[in-house]
Amino acid sequence: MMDHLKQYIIHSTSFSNNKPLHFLDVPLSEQLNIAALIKNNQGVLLTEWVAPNQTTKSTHWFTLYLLSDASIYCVQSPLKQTRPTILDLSSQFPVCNRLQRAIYELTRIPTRHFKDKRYWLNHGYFPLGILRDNGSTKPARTLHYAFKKVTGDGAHEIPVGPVHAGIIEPGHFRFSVVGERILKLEERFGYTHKGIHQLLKNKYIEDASTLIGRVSGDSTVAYALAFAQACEQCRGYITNSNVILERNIFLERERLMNHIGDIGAIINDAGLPALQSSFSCLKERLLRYNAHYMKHRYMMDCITPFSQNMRLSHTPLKSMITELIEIEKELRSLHKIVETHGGLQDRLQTTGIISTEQAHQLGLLGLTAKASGIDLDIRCLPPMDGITPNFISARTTITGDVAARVEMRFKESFDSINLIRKFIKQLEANTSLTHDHEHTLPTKIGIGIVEGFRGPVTVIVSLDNNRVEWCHFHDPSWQNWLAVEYAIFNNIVADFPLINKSFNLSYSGQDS
Amino acid sequence: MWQLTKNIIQQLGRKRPRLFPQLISPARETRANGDQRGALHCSPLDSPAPLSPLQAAEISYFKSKIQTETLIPSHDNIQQIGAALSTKIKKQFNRALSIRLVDAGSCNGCELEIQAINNPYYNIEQFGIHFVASPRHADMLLVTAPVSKNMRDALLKTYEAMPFPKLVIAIGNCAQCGGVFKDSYAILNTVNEVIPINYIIKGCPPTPIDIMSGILIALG
Ligand code: SF4
Repeated sequence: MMDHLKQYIIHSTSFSNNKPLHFLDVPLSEQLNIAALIKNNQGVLLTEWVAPNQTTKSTHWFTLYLLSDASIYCVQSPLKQTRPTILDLSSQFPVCNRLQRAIYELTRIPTRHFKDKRYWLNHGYFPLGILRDNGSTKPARTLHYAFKKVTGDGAHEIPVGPVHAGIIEPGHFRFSVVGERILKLEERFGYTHKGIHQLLKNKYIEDASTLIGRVSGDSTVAYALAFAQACEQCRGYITNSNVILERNIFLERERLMNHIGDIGAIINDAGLPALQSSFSCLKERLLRYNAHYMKHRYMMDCITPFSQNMRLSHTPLKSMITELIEIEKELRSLHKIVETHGGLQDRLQTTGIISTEQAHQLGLLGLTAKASGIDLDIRCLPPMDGITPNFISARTTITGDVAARVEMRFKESFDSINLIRKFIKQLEANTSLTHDHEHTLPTKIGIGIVEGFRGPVTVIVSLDNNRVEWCHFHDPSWQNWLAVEYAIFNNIVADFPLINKSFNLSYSGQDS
Repeated sequence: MWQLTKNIIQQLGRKRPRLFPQLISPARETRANGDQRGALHCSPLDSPAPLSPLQAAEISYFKSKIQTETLIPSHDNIQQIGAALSTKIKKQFNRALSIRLVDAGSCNGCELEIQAINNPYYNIEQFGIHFVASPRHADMLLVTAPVSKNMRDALLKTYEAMPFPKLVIAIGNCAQCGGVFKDSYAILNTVNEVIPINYIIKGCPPTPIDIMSGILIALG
């Protein structure tokens, strides 16, 4: 299989802690074979995108794949000059249905033989093809969005949203139910579409980094880090190892606080608000320490490409160690309560199951995939040179229910605590600074992939001097929202909030 | 009975604070390294209007007390703002202020901080404020912005479903001028373009203390 891919490789490089990344140039028709090949080898699609290529004055279609035992493949094909079209990959990777619709709305490049003509991001309030270089947009139709109907004796629909009852983001859910049982859930998003792709065009790198840190507020570090990695790769720039360690500390702190908050929210939806308050106290403590060390509770704007906005000095590192000891101690005792609370486990187990088979079929990513037994962690990819040590090893749970996702969050939280400790030790040992220096190989486009708390956050960027020529970013929520539709099947309506929380996916990340 | 209700409604109506931009949040603006990212590109039109002496006094009171960088903010600070909130809510809203939140397209950062004011550190419910699930039960609407064009109708409908006094507080720099998303094709630059707002709490995102003191100021 590798041989088949190898013939197309134009060049290979590495990203984040020496992980391999291969760029492939293939003819358009070959893309279908490659998608099938990757699917058969347990790989997943990270994202797909179309973007202009300035040197050849043509448009390219990019697909980005992650193979667990090997590396990342960025496969690109040039499109025809007149009436360009891309190919339908949705039979291999279901998320492509939504991605292809979004691509059509933003660039007016349609997918060949693709039946679903409903708009995804565009609700009829702005023109189609806003990202086209020649500015030839087309007014959008304002058609009724046709949900797929379930008919039969006693089947009826419950529409929910876009404004939800809790303090969460907007999105629409259409349930088809019989009695209490859910037969089908269909999602409709796009409500928080803010046109960030277009805003990023021609922005100064620094401003773009601020903006991309606000694609999804809870993953701001992951986005900013992925963007920084992409820019640095583009320029062939290697940051000094201390900065990399500090950035990873930020990333792990973000994971830790989000997981703790999420576990609390899930437990609250299972009917134990008193226990939740312990988790939210822990989270608040982490936030306050963040504000203390990094001057921002969510660490926004702490990472910028080619440099570092916030540096951690010696004192915060010392106090971070004592902080983590406290946090870990409390988290362990809470873990014990959650594990042994009969009523709670009764509610969490066998609710909202995604089997390993389903997770593979849907091409799920990140935490959701791990909870269903598929480990595709960017941090665990084998390094390119075979020596750089991996920071952590793979972890999975297999049951794929809400309880598994809670358990996975605990595991990842403890891992994060250990990782931060490891990083601090290394930082303290690295007294002699390695200097920033230019790497030999600048690339046309740079790709940054970071394992955020939901899964791999991807940013692809092409730079033009100190401005962004174009930039594409992708949230793992795109893939994982599909899992919610499947997990809810045959559960009762009252369990939807619990199941939805157990995934805690981003609306803004997928809409932006 | 109806007369009585009408009187109350009128009274509440009169109590309604003046509309934006007379009031501007005291919230801290400077961010990491003293820059103002996230508040980028706001036009001079959006800059604060002069305040009345009373407001200024109130604001300086908070300004001195706002702690954004201390490790554990003193418990008193929350308690003081909270006590002031309870007194006002007791008088104006018969002991309970119901708030409905609408996310009109935010990046989720502002939501996180609104969730945070419900955690045991701030526990805003102890001061009589609680979040309700329906706009029909709400005295106050919190809007996190920017308002995306796709959410415009939903926001308007929520506002229309609210009973008087229809207080509206917009949250975040994005609500003021679009923030980092300013001038995108998919958003409206201010919440004011859709519904009238009483007050803006600035910050990206504003801290829980900013939000609490903002609610207090908005109550007049
Ligand atoms: S103000 Fe900042 S945190 Fe709030 S929605 Fe806007 S960008 Fe996000």
